[in-house]
Amino acid sequence: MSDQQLMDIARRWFDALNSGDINALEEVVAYDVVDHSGLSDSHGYGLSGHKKLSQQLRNTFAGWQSQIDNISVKGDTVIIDHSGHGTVPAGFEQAIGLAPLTNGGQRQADFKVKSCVRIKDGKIVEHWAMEGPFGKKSAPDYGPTPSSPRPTPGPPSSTQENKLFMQKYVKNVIDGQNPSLTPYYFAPNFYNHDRAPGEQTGLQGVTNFISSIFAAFTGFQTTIEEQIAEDDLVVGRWSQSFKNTGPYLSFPASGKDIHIAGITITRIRDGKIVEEWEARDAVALLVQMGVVQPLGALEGGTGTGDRSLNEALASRFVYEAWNSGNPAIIDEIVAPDFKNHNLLAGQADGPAGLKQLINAWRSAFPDMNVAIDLLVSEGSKVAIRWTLNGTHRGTFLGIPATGKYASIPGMTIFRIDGGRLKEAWGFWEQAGMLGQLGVVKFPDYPAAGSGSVPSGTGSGSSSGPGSYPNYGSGS
Amino acid sequence: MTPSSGQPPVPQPLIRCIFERIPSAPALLALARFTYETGSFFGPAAGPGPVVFHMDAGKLTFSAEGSVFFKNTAADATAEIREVIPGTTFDVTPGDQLFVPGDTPHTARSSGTSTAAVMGVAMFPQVPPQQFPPGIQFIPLVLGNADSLPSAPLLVTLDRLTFGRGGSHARAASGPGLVWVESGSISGMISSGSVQLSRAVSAGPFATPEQISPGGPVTLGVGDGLFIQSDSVFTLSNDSDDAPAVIVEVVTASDTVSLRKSIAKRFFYDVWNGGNLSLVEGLVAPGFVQHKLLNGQLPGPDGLRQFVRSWREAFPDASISVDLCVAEGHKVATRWNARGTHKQSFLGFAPTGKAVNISGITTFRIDTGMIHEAWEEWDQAGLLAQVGAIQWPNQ
Repeated sequence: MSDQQLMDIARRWFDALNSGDINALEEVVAYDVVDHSGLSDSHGYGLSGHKKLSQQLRNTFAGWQSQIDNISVKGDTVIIDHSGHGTVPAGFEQAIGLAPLTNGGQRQADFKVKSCVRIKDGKIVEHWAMEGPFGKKSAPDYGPTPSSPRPTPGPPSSTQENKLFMQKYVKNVIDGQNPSLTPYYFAPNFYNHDRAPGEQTGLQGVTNFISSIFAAFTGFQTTIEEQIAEDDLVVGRWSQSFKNTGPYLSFPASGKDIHIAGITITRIRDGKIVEEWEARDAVALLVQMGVVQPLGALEGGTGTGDRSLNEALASRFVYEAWNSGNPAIIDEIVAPDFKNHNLLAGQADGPAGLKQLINAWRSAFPDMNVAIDLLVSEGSKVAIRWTLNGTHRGTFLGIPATGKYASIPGMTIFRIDGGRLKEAWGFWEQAGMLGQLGVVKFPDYPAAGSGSVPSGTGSGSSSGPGSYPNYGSGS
Repeated sequence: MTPSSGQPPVPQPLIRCIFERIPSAPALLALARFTYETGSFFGPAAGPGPVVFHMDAGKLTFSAEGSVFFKNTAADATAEIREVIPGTTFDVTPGDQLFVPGDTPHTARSSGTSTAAVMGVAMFPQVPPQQFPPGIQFIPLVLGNADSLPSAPLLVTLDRLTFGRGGSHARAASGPGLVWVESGSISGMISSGSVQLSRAVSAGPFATPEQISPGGPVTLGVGDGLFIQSDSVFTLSNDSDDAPAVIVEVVTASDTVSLRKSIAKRFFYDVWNGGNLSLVEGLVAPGFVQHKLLNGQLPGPDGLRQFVRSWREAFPDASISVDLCVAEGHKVATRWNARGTHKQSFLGFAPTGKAVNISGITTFRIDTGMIHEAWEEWDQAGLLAQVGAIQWPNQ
C-alpha cells in the first residue's frame, strides 16, 4: 500500500474515534487487532475489545475533542500526533498519569497524544500510544508514576493473555521509552537471573536499569519474532533497533544505529512479571558501537575432514568478509586479479569491487546477517546458496531507505586457485528484494487479458505499468 | 562408524513417522521385511492399520487411493515428509520412507532391474492373512501383541544401532517397542514392565514367545527379537568380546509436548554434556537449519557438531545443564548453563585457564521426533568478561 493509502486508513480510524461513531471502526480495524493501549484487560481482545475501549474512552471523557497535528508513515505504521481536550472524571487521574485532585471535583484537561497504528492488508492490526496507556498528559501538568495500577488481579491468566501482556510491555515501556510504567508490569520483588552490568534486583532495580538504558540509547523499535508460552512462562524471541545517543558503561556515545537480537523468558504471576531470564547479543551491541572487535571464527570448520579447504575459503568469504564486515580478509583470501563475472552497475572488478559491494550492503543494511544455506563443491568450484536478512536503513542501488526488513536469497559460484578466490559468478533475488522493500508491487494474479507485468509504486517514481521504476545506477 | 568401547550405540535413523490414527489395544506391532522380485505386483489392497517402511533396495512404483506420506531422498537427502495426492503414481527408491495409513488401498510394482526390498513397521488390530502374490515374500522379523497403547498421535522410530564393546543404552517409552538382532549378540535386562523374547531358531516370530521376567539378563543372537510392552524399561548392552553388535530397534511413544522436551534435553545432556557427537544423527534432521551461525560455523548438523566439538575441546571439563524448558506445540525453548575451564583456543581467544559459567537460551522446532531448526542466543559478552578479554568499565 502507498503511504497515502495507509494514512487514509489511519484518518478514518481517527475520525471514527473522534466522532464517536464506534461502529465505523469495523471498516478499518482487523478482527484480531492487538491493542496495546488498554488500561485493563477487562475490555477483552481483538476488534470487540478495541471498540469497548474506544467507547469507554468517549464515555469517560465528556466533551472529548481531538484534532490531528501531524501524521506520518514509517514502514507499515502510521503515527498520528493529535491534541485536544476533555473532562477528566474524579478518580481517573492516576490511571492516566495525572496528579490527583485534592477536592475530588472534575477538571478540564488538555492532552497531546501520539497514537500509532500498524496496517496490514488494508486493516489496522495493531494499535498503541507511544507514551503509554492513553498517552501522556502534555507538559507541564505531568503526573507521578502510578503507584498501584491494576488493583484487582483477575483469575490466573491464560498463555494467550500472557503473550499479549508481554507485547504490551515491549510497546509501552521499551518502544514507548517510558520507565515510569514499570509498576504496571513488574512485581515489587521481581528477580532478573541475567542482570546486565550494574543492574539491581527488584522493581526499583529494573526501573533504574531501564532508565539508564534510555539515557544511553533511544528510538527503540522492537520486533517480537516469536512467542512460546506454557503455564506461567512466556518465551519471546526478539530483534531490536535503536540508536546509541548517550554514553554507555563509560564508553562515549557513538551515534551509531544498533541492531541486536535476544531471547527472553518471563514468568507472569497475578498479572506481573516476577522472574526473568535473558540471552542477548551484547557483543554485537559493543561491536556496533565500535568499542570491541568481533569474535574470532569458530574452530574446527576446516581440517576436520568434513569440508575441503576450498569450501572453507568460500565460507570465510561469506562469514568473515561479508557477514562480519572485515575487509582485511579480502586481501588475504581473494586473488589480486580476481574476476567477478556479474558486476553491478558502477562496481569495480577485482578485490576492490568486492570491498565496495560489501560496504554497500553493510551500510544499507546495518543489521545484516548473511548465512550459508547450502554449500557444494566440485574440483576447484564451490557453489554457495546464501540468505541475507536485514533492515533497509540506507540507500542501496539507488533505492532510498525504506525501513523494511528483507530476506534476500542468492547464489554465488567461486573458482579457487592457489588457495585464493579467483573468479565468481553470482545471482541474487533482486526482484524479490524490490517486492519486499515495496519498490515494486507484484500482482497477486495475472489480470485477465492484460500483461502480468509489475508496476512501480514507490520511491516517488512515476513509471507506468509495464516498466520497473528507475532504481538503478546513475541515480 | 563403530563406536569406541563403553560408548552408547551409534544410531542410523531409518524411519521417523507419526501414526495419526492407531487401532485400539490389543493390537499387533510387527517389524518385517518384504522382497519383491522384478515385475511382481501387489494389490490393490489395504492394510487394516498403519504401515511405514524404509526402502532398502530396488525400485517400487507405487500408487494409493488415499493420502500417503513420502520422504523422497532420491533428489535431496534432506527432504522432509510430504503428502502424496491420491492417485499419483511415483517411484520409491533406496533411502526413501513411505507411510501408508490404515485402510488405504494401494498398489506396488517392482519396477527396478533387481529385487526390491523394504523393512517396515505395521500396527494392525490382529494378525493379517499371510497370502501374497507370486514373487512377493513376507519375512516377519519380530512382532507381538500390545496389551495397551498410549494415545495417538504416535511417534514411530526405527533405528539401526551399532554397539561397540561394552556399549549400552537404556530405553523407556510410553508405547510398545521391538528389537531385532542383525549381527553380533546383545544382552537385554528388563528393569520393569513386560518383554517377550522370540528365538530365530524356533518356528519364527509367530511361534509362542518366551516371557522374560524383570531382573534376569537374556542374551540375544542373530535373528532373535524382543517385543516390549508399553511403559517397560529395559537396557541393552554388548557384553560380548565380538564387537560390534548391530540391532534394529523400533520405539513408539505418544507424540506429546513432553516428548519434544525430552528430545531437546537429550541434545544437551547426551550430545553436549555427554560428548557423544554420533548421537546427533538420531536427534537432528539432515536438513537442520541453525538460524544464527557463529563466525566460521558450518551450516546444518555439521555446524552443530563443530560447535559442540570446539566447545568441548576448548573446555575439556565442560558440563551443561538445562535449567528451564518451555514448550508450546512444536517449539521448545531451553535455558541452559555451561561451565568449564578454558584450556584451548576458542573463538580466537588463546587459552586462559579460567573457569567460566555461561548461560544461553535455545529455541528448537521439533517435529516427528527430530530437531529441525534452532535459534540461539548466549552470553558471549559474559564469556569475554570471564576469560578477561574485555573488562566492563566502571559506570
